[in-house]
Amino acid sequence: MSGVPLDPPRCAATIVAKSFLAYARALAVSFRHHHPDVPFYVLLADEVDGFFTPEREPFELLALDDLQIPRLERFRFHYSQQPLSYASTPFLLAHLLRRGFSRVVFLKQESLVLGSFASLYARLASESLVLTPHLLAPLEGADRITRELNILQSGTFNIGLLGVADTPSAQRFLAWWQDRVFTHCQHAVGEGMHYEQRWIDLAPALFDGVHVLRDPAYNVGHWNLPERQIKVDGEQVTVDGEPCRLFRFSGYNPDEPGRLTVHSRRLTAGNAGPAAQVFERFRNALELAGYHETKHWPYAYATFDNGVPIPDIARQIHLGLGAAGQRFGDPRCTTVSDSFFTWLNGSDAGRSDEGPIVSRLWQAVHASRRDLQEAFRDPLGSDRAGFLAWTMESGVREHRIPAQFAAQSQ
Amino acid sequence: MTKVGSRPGPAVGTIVARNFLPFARVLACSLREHHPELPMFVALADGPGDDRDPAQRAEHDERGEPFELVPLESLDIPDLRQVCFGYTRQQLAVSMKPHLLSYLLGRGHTGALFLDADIMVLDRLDPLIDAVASHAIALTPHLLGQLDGEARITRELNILQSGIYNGGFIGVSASAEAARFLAWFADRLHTHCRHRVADGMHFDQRWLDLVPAYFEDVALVRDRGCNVAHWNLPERNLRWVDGRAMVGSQPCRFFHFSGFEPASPGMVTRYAKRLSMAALGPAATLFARYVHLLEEQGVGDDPPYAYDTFDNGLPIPAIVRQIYLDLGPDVRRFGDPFCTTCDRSFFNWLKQPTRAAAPGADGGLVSRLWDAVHRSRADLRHSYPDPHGADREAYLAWTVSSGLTEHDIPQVLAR
Repeated sequence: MSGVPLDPPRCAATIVAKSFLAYARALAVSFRHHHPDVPFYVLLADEVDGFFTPEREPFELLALDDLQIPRLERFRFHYSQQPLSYASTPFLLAHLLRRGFSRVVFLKQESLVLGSFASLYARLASESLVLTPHLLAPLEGADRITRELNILQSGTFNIGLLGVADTPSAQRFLAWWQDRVFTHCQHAVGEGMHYEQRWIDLAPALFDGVHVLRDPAYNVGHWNLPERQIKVDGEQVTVDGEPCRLFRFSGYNPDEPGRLTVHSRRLTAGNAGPAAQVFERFRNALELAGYHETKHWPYAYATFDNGVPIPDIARQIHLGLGAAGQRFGDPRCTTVSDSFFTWLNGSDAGRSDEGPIVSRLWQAVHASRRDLQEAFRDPLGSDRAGFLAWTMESGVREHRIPAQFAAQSQ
Repeated sequence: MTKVGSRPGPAVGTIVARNFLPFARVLACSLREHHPELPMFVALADGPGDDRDPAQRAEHDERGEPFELVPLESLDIPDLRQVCFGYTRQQLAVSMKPHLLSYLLGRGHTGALFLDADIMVLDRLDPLIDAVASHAIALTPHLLGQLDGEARITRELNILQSGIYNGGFIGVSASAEAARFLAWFADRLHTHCRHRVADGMHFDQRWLDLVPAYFEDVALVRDRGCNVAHWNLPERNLRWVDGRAMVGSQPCRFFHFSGFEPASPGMVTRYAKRLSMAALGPAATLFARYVHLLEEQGVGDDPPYAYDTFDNGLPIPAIVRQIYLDLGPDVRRFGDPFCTTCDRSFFNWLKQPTRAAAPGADGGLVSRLWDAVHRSRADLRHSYPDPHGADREAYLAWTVSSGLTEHDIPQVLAR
């Protein structure tokens, strides 16, 4: 349980779905090791559903219901598991400030705290928001431009670490970020979005008291490993000769430990040098935290309430409806007469006698793909049979559409 | 030891091709009105030409240009011919920003301020000059506060696509940190001053997003009177008070007429067609004044651009520049890319077939140019999946019926 908060009250927090609970445990334990007096919160962007006992965890558990998220059933429906966690970040931070903490540090789940965050909390005495960049200096070498463009696509600042203080500027920042990610936490690089992260590029321009923390000891990850000199001496991990404070394992799969991240083909356990030992330590910590058990725990919001998986296109359709989606109430609910589930299988075009209709769901798939628009120019008319044949042969597979939404052959 | 106080103060510079010289004149005159002490330099991103030819306006012949002209050759640009070929007129001008700033610092100025040519100075620039006096690098964000209203997300996403900081102003001081910044900026713009939003590029501008992460001592100038333009006009609420343009309680220091085309004076900017001059309010007066000043300085003459054609006079299509740029450092083997008569010229390479002629093949083969066009367009790849085999005839027919006109490709490069 949490110790007595010091003055000013500080805390740290992360967000997981329960299949990542082992990550939250490992992170919480590593944080508490270096900050025994600072409470650590875990927001479960999921339901407990009896899979674990919150009181026995090494952290304080929060539920989405605790955060005063407006129109929560819709918010939960609009995003799949990972984006929902990302989009919940500003709501969690605002909640912790409301709870009375004056300095809050957010950490993404795939991380280990390896040293004290005292210098980061100290920054929050005079600043509203502390950001850490992915990279701290121009890159060198043949792949310098490719790597920098990667960062420009995903965001200058890495949101695996973020600090906020209880100032009016931080409150304004969080209200703004909440508004933007409520509907626009997508991966659409050409449109200027990379989930919740690219929005933060605007923060230094839009808000007062934004500090860019350029300290190589924080937020070490695959994107900056080539530039950071990692040394491991027993328990002690140093970066450029200073104690490492936060190490990140973004894209790391403990079941495939030789490959340190899915985001880079060039980095492997074989060529990462001493850093490979830190990944190994992370894997051990995860296993100790029950990784092999928790990874199988189901995500509660993956399905409609009748157990049918929610396809991504259904989430996008509901998001696109905006306020018009309100009439369905909770979009996961299939038992009401006018459910979103039923609506997806219907069509405005009306039913003809000549066989199956092209449902709203398949119309949306058609509208989302230029190749389909070229191949089936009139999906409700002359190309209907061809398009429906495509949905059965390829569409259900390409878009992972459950049988309950497949066109009925007659 | 450098003697303190012996160096000349800050200088201001811009970059234009010859057709934009009237814009540079308006900028220089407006700067002189509010800052007679600041020297103004204009780098010419164009061929040497004859700047004393009769097309030059008579009054300039008498009193000279209101700035010092810096020829392209004075800037220390590696592989200059390649850059002039690979980039369009606009890209070339933009990519020279770090070189011009380095050049001005090299002349001993304590600081250097780049201003886009389509800017007009309306008042004192003290926040910029102070920023450069006390910081290594100074930038102005497009937006200074969160947006409200229906269009808030669309407008902010627009900024995320194009860059947080506007490239219309970049300030540097004579410092080691600024030199580091300029060396990096020049290296990236040398090959990657491109408009490819999904790849993370918007000419020079998205690169600037990295500056607060990469360098110490960066000033983000959040003065509401700076860099007022179409992207922030709704929030700046420009008004006229006793003939002075004001933003809230402070002067509008400089206005950026980004995307404004004097030939279409009813359109505020080509980047946001939704904005009409009629609905613009008090700022419309400023545009009217700007058009008048540009006309006085000879806008509309439209002199030719030196790097628009091969040495045989044929225009260089945009897609040809792109192909050249995409080849990377490999292009050195072609020598001067403008040359059409040299051995192993790029021009002749474009015309060569990509595959050896199959016996009995008639109707021609797909040249490297048309192969590159095919690879650059998803719609063509979709319609003609096998341009060298089964779809060759059909694809070659398309190049003649549509390709030539869609890409402004001269007949000589057909097929």
